[in-house]
Amino acid sequence: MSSEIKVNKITSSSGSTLEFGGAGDTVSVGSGATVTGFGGGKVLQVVQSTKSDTASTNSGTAVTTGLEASITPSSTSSKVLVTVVFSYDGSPDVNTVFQLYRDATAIHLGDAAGNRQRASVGSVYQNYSGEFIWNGTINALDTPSSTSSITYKLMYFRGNTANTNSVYFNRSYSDADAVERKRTISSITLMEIGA
Amino acid sequence: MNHQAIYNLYPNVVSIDDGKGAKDSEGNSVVVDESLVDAEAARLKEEYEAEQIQIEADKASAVSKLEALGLTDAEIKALSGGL
Repeated sequence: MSSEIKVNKITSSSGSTLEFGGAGDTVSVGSGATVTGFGGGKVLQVVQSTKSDTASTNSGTAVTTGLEASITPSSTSSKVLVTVVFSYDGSPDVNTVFQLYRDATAIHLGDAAGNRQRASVGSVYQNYSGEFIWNGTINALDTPSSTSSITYKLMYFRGNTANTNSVYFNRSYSDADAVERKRTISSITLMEIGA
Repeated sequence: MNHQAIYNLYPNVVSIDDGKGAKDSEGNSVVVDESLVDAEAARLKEEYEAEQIQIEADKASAVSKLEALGLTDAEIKALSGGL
């Protein structure tokens, strides 16, 4: 038997503890309802996108790896925890540079320091045998201050201006059809964290 | 999709995605001729295999020359990292 009570406020009759339900009970919130006031740090929503095929670039400016995900924060005070786990390789001397973007803006980069590349993840002088594959991780807590849809994406480019070699995503530089080579999956996970 | 074959055939291509195809520096899609790509991929494969054969031949030649100089198998292995 279900019943409904309509009130604007429930307070404890004594002390400071207000208890809902007991052991074995399920206390649920209506679908689509917003619950506020629990304090900061709660995960409000999670979005994940994966890329299991391969990509590459020989561009000297940032282009997308194809790994991206969008989220619409429920509040301007929310933070977004962005976790990117990916695999890559580069042809000789390519100097790989990966940057995390929020829409059209690179975020979560190392400090500017002369001619040095600003990267979220980067490496140089990749292997020459071409069989290896490298792993990169980005863990960024962003404050977008927006309730509009935001797209986070992993961008990459060739940092070495002396050649036009390529950076490879989800595969090794050498792609011979052999068991030493791999196909990997990369992911980007967005968590909206309440303020 | 053979990326290197596409880069070789289409110098204006700067990025390739297996799911979204080849693009130029402006982000425009570049249509590739699959038959040309397949032919270039076959040529690259032959080139790679020839390189591997040559590498193995060079290793064997190097070992022979080192043996002729009087080095033991252990010395050759220590020197070369396992030729």
